[in-house]
Formats: sequence, C-alpha cells, structure tokens
Amino acid sequence: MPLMEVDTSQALKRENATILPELASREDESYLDFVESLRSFVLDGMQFDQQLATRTAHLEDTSEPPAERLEKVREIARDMPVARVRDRLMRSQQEMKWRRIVSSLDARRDIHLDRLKSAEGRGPARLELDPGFEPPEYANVHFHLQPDGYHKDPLAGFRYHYGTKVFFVGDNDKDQLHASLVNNHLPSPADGRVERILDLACSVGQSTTALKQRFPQADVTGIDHSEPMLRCAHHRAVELGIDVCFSQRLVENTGYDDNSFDMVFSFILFHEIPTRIIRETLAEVSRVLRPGGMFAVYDFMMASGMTPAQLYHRHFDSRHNGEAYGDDFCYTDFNGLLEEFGFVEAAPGKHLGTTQVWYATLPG
Amino acid sequence: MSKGPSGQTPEGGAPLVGDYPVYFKDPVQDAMMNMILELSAQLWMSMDRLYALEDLLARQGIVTAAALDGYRPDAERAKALRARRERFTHDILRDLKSLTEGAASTPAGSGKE
Ligand SMILES: C[S@@+](CC[C@H](N)C(=O)[O-])C[C@H]1O[C@@H](n2cnc3c(N)ncnc32)[C@H](O)[C@@H]1O
Repeated sequence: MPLMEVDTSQALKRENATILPELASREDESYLDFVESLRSFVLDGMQFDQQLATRTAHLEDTSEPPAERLEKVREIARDMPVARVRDRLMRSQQEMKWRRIVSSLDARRDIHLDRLKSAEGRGPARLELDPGFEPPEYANVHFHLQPDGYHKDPLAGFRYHYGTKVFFVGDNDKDQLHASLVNNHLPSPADGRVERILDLACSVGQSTTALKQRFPQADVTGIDHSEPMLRCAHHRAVELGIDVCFSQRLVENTGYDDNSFDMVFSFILFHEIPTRIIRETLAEVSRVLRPGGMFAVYDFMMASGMTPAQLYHRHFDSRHNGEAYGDDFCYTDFNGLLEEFGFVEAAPGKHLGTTQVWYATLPG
Repeated sequence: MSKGPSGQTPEGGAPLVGDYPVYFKDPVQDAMMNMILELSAQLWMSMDRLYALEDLLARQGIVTAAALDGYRPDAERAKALRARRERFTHDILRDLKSLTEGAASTPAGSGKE
C-alpha cells in the first residue's frame, strides 16, 4: 500500500508548481530515475507484501497486541529468502539515492549556496532565523538515512526535497500530495474562521504554500528547527511568489501567544519525535490553538491497525531506515493522547493509504 | 558495529542498525547485489544518454551510424573518458571496498540486530 493514497487529479486546479532542486547533470537525473524505478519495484513490483500476506493470514486479527504479532511475522519472514532480498533492495535504493543526490548537489555547491543567499531578505515570503538557536539533542538522527540529517549541512533542504521526490516515486513532483491533502482532505473550523494558520515542522514548506493558496486571506507560518530546511523553504516560496512566513522554532515550545491560531497543520511530524516531545507538542498545540480551531494531523498509521506486512515494514523502517522514533509514535495510543490534552474529535479520522488522519479541536 | 551517526539513537528510540548492515548469509552476497544494482543504474544512465544523443543527432542530420562506429577519441577526450570510467568502476565496486572496511559479520536480518 502506498504511504498515501489520495486522488491528486483535482489537486492541481490551483496554480502550483514546485521548485525541485536542480541536479548537476542529466546523468544524475537518469541515475535517480533508475533508483525511483527500483524503489517502485521493491514497493510494488516484486509483490513481497502479497507473498508475506499468504504466509501470515492467521496474524491478521488485530485484537492481539501488535508487538506480539510483529514477533511472529518476523519469525515467518526469517525463513523467506525473498524477505532478505526485499530488505537488501530497500536499504540499497536508499543508500544509492542519497549518495547521488549529495554528490550531485555538492558538484555545484557554491551555486546552491548563492541561491539560498540571494533569496535572503526577498519577499513576498519572510524568513525568521534565531541566531542563538541550538537544535535539540534528540534531533541528531539521520532520518531516512539522509547524510548529515536535517540540520547539519546547509544544503539539507535541497537534499531532503529531492530525496522525497524519489521517496514518493514521482507522485509528488509538483507537490500534488501536499496540494491534495490541503485542498481535498482538510476541513475548516466549524465557524469557518481561518485567519492564522500554523504549519508544524514545515521542512521545505510544501504544505505551507499549499495552505496559503487555499486560504489566501490567512496569515500562514511554517515552523521548523532546521535552518537549512527553512532557508530552502523560504527560497522556494520566494521563487513561487507566495506570501508565507518561515520561522525557526521548536514545535514543543513555539513562543506564540495563547489561542493565537485558527488552524494547526501537521504532516508526518509526530513519528519523528520522542514520546516526551510528542506530549510536550500536544500541550503546546492545545495552548496556541483557539477553542473551536482545527488541529489536523497526518502521520503514520497506528500499529494496532496494521496488517502483518505493515508491521514488518514499520519495524524495518525504524531499525534500518533511521526512523528512530517511528515506533514511539505507532505503538502509542494517539487518540488517547489527544484526549488527555483536551482535544475532541472535530471530524471523523480516516486512512489515506498507510497515512492516518486525525481532525481535532478544543471545546469552547 | 559502526561508530557512524546511524549507530546511535538519542532519547531511547529504536536501536538503529549500523552503517553496513548485512542481509544475506554472507556479506559477499550483499556486495554482489549492490554491484548489480549499481551496474543497472549506470547502464540506465548511459542508455538514457544514448537515446537522447542519437535522437538529437538524427534530428539534425549530423552523425550517421557509420561515423559513430568509426569514432576514436583524441588524447584530451581519452583522458576525460578514463576519469569517467574510473568513477564508473569505483561506483560499481564500492561495496567490495566496504567489505574490507568493516562490514558486519552478523546478518542484520537474522534477528540478532
Ligand atoms: C518528515 S519532516 C516533515 C515533513 C513536512 N511537514 C512536509 O510537509 O514535507 C520532519 C521535519 O520536522 C522537523 N522537526 C523535527 N523535530 C522538530 C521540532 N521539535 N521542532 C521543530 N521542527 C522539528 C525536522 O527538521 C524536519 O524538517
């Protein structure tokens, strides 16, 4: 199952063109095209999930605790040579991707750095960096094996952007997925008031700009701890001519006023922070979101609802693909946490492929 | 296994495998698989380039198939080709090098990670 199953055919009604980082050569593009096809073969073409499913049909029953089901699935997979091949290919395509992206961007490093520099101070998008900012220790993980992680190389934003292009196997080349989430899968607050929107952990700002396009009258701010991500996001928004703000802040300690946002949006953030920070972030959102506001969360699905194959992939992703905190999130009860921090359901949650969606609000 | 950043996990997250995980019984098999993948990628790169080149040349009526077959590089060009060939070879054989540099001896997929 794809990470996200959304109908993107209508999502691009609004003018929305991404600015994919420019690689050094057509050869690098063809290499990465190959990696994209390899990835698509591993995800789909080799039909590993179907093979595993036939051997694990008796473990479909989701009433058993997911951790116990996982152990049984892994035991079965241990005897399947195809599982070894699948794991090897999955790891290799990721390593090939990063090697080529890094070397291609590094070949023209000065040009890319100049690009980021020349966007500085240009509008309509704004950039707020905090000169004294210290990235938290828990962020020192190379998520998805990205070399130097999210914040240690000035080109991390460009690396990440091209990396996710391959990750989404071409389905997000023009930000279709972000546009679809925002345009087709995001309810407004019940009273319809949307004046200020916060995009939590915005990375290169693909949802931030999509939010501004859907709510042109609103003030839209994307926050992230990573300066390279924010610089890249700002550069991209300047190129697209979209008036949004990018600000260097922690999701668990934003510094914004109480009740100051009508909407808080979060796309695949929570599985990348430790449980302690998940809790602090929910407390923070419950403080800055106004009563009746909309809190929309799109993230990995809960392990309790996973098929045996999904449990297997979750485990691989956590251990072999740098998703160090993926299990913290997936094996927790996120509904229970939302409740604990005072949220109530604003609209029925749903699944988009293996992405789970929560719409929450605060009672008035 | 590895002292690289992937070997450590702050804040009690899931322990990550090291920088050279091994999935088959013998690390040489992992290296072989990677060589095949790299070869395929390199092959695709040159196929893609060749298609583009042939198309452009034919469209402009510049080069015939016979001229291509008779092509010999001059000294400078030969030097550049050699540098490319060396990168090509290095990319494909890279994993054999990492075998000597510290590949794990315990299969990562054996459940003993
Ligand atoms: C998987 S990405 C999020 C993807 C993004 N929302 C998008 O639409 O493409 C995770 C991001 O979270 C950021 N991040 C992680 N922990 C954070 C924190 N505590 N505060 C702010 N940003 C954080 C990282 O820098 C990274 O850019």
